[in-house]
Amino acid sequence: MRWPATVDGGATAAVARLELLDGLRGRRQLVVRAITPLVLFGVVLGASLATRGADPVRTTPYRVAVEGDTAGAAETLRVLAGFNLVFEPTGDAPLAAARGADLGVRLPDRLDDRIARHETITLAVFRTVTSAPSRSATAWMEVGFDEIYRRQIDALSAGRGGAALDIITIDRINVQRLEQGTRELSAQIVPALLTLQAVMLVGSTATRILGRRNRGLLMAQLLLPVPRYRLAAAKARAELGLGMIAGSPVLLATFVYVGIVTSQRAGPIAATTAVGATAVAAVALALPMVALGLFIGTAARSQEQVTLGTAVALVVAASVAATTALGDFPRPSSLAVVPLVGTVSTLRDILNASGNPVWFAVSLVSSGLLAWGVTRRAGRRFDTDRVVLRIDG
Amino acid sequence: MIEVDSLVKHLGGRPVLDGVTFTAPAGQVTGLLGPNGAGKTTTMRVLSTLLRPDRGTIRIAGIDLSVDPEGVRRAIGLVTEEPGLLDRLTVREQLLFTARAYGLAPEAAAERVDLLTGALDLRGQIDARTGTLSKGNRQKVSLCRAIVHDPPVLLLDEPTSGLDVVAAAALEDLLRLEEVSGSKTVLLSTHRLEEAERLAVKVVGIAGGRVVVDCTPDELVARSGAPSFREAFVRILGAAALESGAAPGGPGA
Repeated sequence: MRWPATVDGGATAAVARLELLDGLRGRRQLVVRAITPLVLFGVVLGASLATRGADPVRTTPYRVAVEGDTAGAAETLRVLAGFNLVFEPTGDAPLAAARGADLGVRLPDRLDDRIARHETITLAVFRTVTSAPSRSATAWMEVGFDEIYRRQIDALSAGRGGAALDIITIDRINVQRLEQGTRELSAQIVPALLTLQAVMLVGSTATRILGRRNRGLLMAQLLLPVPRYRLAAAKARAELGLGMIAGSPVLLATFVYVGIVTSQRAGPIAATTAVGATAVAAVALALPMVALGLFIGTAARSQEQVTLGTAVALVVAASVAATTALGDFPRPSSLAVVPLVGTVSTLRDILNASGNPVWFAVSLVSSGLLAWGVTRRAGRRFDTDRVVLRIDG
Repeated sequence: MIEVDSLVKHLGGRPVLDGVTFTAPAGQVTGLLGPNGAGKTTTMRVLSTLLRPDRGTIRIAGIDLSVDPEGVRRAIGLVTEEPGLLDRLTVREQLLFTARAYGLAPEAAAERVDLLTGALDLRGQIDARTGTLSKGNRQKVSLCRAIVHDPPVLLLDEPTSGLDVVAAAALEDLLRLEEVSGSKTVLLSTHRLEEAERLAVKVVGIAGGRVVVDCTPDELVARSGAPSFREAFVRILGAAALESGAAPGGPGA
């Protein structure tokens, strides 16, 4: 071997392996990184359920989506409307209940007429069992039917009607257990979870880069005969690998959940596709976050600035999760071209069996391009005097 | 060979290097001397492509730094005061990864690591994590890493600073080894004047970002009329530093 040795893509692979091995040897940090999201998501879920369990006193009526013969139930609905319920016609009551209505009701044909004839009726009511407003709306509806019985009793005592009482049975159905409900719920939760999991890579990456700068570890790598952007890409590869390993408990649980939910609904092929899409989306969401962490790590002057940058990224990611993944705002297909937001939106559609694979692919490309652009920019920052002057603190 | 011509570098709007010109002959050790804040470290960082020059021409092993910085990086090895090793990696891993990053084939990399760790007496620690090594041994690993790709030019930026006398002497002995510096162009920046006197065939003195001495140690002594190299250095570089207004002990320039 004599100088000059040939340098090829193996150089960046070597840097990536070096960084990955060093990260994997830091078991304590790795365990903390694996446990933190589990604790965080557990707390968020617990807080969310606790909030859902407490139904504040409402002055606004509960929204009840009604499907079926609304004309034949006009009188019944008029009485029930006096009990804090407002009715909205829909073509799919379970879906409407899953998507935000407090209740869904599937009306039988000629309900008023059948009540008047004292026929036995079973009414399907779709509700979300973990939602306090949904449970409250069910109670209001029961009170409303009590009123209808009372009027029947009054009519009987006045000699104006038949004899049957308590003829309506309410069949309470938890929409979360229905296919649509489960699908809708998982399509919301999974992209939100992946977004929050990915954003954790910003802080971990930025902190490691800053630490390397301050301890003189970056200098040896900056001396390698490798273009700066490839060095940045090598670091991004390592950080992505570490992030995936540290996030594996959450990611594996998510993949298993998606697989089970989808296979029950649509069989193993659809389940494999959904798990594959989820895995690809997890990487597509993580890549820009790693790139952003690289950028912050090279731009920040101190750990405080890293913390600030990470906090901003967390707020933005939480907003994307809350609006795009969990929210009920209109999401046009063209949203796919917006990095991160597009991936979250199209993954939600894919998991809800209403997505277009082409838009999903577009969203992956847009997120990938953002990651590439930010990584290149971070690589250019390796050449700035400020980074070098801070190399040894 | 290292050729530096009219090198200018500003940091934070302040001129740190102001027309630095010197050559370091091929295959020999050149000492780069100067008080704190003179511009030695900045010179080393520019030569090693870590900082970009504002003006001036630099050729290292025949490669123009402004045209082919990656070629220059391939041609140099740099040892600094701070070894900058990943504490959780072993000596072997650290060196092998670096060799691979410089494009050496796996067998050639292993062979080279074996040769260097043998020459620098690191075989006993080769599978120890670098975080567990003494500072002297960490600096040895840093030296191994700098020459693992057998570069024709070796830049040593105060490699013995922070080492005790024994460790510094041991490292100085290693710098004389054929495996380390043989046939290499070496630029040694140091505060230890005796070290420079013993190792360097030529000294370049910098004060206030300018070259004030460019001669052999004997010529420096003769020119100053001082009884010793140390005395000559203090007289000439000290006077130049005062003249240029450079504040000894200033920020690590």
